[in-house]
Amino acid sequence: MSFASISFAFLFLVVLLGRLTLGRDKRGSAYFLFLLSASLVFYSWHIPIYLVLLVGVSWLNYFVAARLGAAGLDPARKKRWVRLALIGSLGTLGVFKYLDFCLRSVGFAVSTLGIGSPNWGVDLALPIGISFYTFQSLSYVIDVYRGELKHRSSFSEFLLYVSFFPQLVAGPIVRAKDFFYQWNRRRRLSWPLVSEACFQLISGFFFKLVIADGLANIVDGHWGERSIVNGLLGIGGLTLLFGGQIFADFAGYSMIARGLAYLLGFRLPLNFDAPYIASSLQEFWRRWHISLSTWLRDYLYVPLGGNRNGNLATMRNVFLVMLLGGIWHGAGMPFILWGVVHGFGLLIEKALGIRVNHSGAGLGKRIGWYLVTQTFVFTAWMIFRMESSMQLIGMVQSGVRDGWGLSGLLELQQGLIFLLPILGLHLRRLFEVSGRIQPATQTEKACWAGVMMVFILTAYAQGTAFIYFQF
Amino acid sequence: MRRERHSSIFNSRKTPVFVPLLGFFGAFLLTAGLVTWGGKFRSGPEDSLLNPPREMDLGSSSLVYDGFEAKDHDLYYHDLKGCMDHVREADVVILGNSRVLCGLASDQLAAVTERSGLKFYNLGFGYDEGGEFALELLRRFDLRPGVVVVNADASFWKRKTPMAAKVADSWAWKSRVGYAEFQAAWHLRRNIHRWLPKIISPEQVAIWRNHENGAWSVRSSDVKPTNVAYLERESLATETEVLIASAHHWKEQLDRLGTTLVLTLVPSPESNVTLARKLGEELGVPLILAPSDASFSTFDGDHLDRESSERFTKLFVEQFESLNIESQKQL
Repeated sequence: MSFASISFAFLFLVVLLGRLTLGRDKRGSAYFLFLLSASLVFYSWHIPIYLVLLVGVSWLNYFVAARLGAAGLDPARKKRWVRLALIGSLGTLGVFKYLDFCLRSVGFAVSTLGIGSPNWGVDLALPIGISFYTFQSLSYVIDVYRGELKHRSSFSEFLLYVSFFPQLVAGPIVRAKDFFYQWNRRRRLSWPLVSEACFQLISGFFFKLVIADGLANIVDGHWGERSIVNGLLGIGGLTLLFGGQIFADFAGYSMIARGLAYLLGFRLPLNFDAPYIASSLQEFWRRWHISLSTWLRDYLYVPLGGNRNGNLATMRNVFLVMLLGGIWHGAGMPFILWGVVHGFGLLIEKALGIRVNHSGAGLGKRIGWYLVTQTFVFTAWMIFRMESSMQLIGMVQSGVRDGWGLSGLLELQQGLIFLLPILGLHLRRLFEVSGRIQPATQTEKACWAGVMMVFILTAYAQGTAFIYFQF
Repeated sequence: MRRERHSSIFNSRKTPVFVPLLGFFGAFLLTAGLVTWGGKFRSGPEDSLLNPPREMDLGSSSLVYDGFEAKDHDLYYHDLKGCMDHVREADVVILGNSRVLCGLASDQLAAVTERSGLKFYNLGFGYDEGGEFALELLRRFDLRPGVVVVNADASFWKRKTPMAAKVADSWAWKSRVGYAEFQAAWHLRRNIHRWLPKIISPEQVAIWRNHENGAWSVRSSDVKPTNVAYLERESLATETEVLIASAHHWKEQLDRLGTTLVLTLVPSPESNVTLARKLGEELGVPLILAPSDASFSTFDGDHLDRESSERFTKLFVEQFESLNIESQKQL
């Protein structure tokens, strides 16, 4: 079920009714069971049979965590249980997300070698949100294994954590300890909470329905199978538009998710923090899809040894994490290449000894690195968006052939207007970070919400699915 | 959990409730006023475009396209409005793309029904749909019309679209819910745009479909009247071969239903009469064409306008009746 649908509006009205009527402080089992039911309805809306998969993966991890939580288990057996959870969860993810790609790749290799022309592949519909809920479930098992979290005695509580509908299909990836930490909180509706939730919701819908969908119409029109774009400036403009689209789409989703969760009495982690103001790739990954990058850091980079075993090992770990981060996004060469490119970028930064915020560097140097970083980030978006390597090569060739091609950029002028709110948001954050302005007050936010509301009603574009639903 | 530095939840409890509320409504009204005022200076569709055509019988028609999403496939594949009973009653089922839906006038065909009892149903599908989907429909509902008329555009002989595949994979209840949502969204937008203009892409198209005869009623702000006539164009030999092979395969399946095939070609800027003739010869079926010197006009550069569709339908009916298909079938 998409947030931008009438079915969801109806479901959420029912959930709100429950929020207002079930129990006094909304920390009793009735409220949680009600939220769980709503979450399962929300998930089953896509392909109902995949509910079995969601519950199955959750149960496996819950069962393993229960074993890990049992007293008197020796470390070797604990490791075996964790291995079972990893194999079961990642194996399921692999079958549904990567098996088809692997079989087709092997088939392609076989036919290239002239051994035969097999038509291998499995036609499985991707269960939405599988990467998100697999990672969430695993983080629970690992936290229990590490002794950072106590195992919950109720499976329904765990299932609600995994399937909580505001963040189920496209994140943010919530850690179990952050979620259960809020479990016994009194959930009374207060004016500041409602006002912040509404601001998040309106901002999220504005970024999705107006900016992301508006940009999608332009980007998809120019970036189809036969990419139509003139000159280097045209390609640059198109890449800027896609960078804006993917930010507005994903950040918009995260804002809606956080707004909904606020209303229901839960806080979800911040997932985007103005990533396009980053002046180093390290900083970019602290601002873009924060919940994924911190998950990869804590559950992959650190266990691999992090930066504790010398430069070579650190570089290997960084590269591996970025490669897996790319693969996490999907089974396809563009995502793998995108991860590899970011991995190399981070390695170069490490080799040059660049610090996250260029502390101690002058303004000119910072601006220089900012331009280098963002050019890198946006160029990498071209790889992320490409439909085939031939398409990307064709685009670059046309750019070189046509020269600068100002007309190509002018064709995209309507799209560039859509980038203004994204630019405004980033500038505001930049000034906040540098201490030149204060964070927005409730009244300021309310005024912006009023303006955005008008644009949601008058400038919405043809609805497209959230990009991160496919991951 | 990462602490938000810019969150205002915990630092603004002292603000009286009415101040942000005033801010919200003030900003909303001011912006709405500016947008409405600005909207007056740009050419856009009339408000009446949001309404169904006046002459249309709303009781027997359904919205199938709202400018964003198409629902023809759901309507027929899951028989959401009981249309398939009407298709079953038809002696002649017309298949093809949006050109045939706009090119054969339902009034003229109804006149033939009154005169001779021969009932027509226009089961065309827009959006570049191939003939495979129509065939799937005939089989799914066990329909065996006496005659099937196909608009012989090249796109008809290609495979079905992802839209058709998606509908075939979907459950009926999901289609019903999806259709209810689609209608609700349309009504919501209609009511919003009574008060506020649509400022991005104000061009609008809406299409309703009659359950009883399958005819489309189109309302479009995309008005580009142009003259059209048949194109005489030799296609690439390989492309023609592929199309003819697909057409043979399609006809074989139709033959199994015991149905007679007739081809026609609605004039449009892309209607290739050379290919249509070739298809007619290869398949050994009659081809109904307008005279080569006839000129027609479209309302949007692609689909015949009302006057032209009536003229084309008249020519079509004359030739169709002269085929005397029933007596041919008896032979």
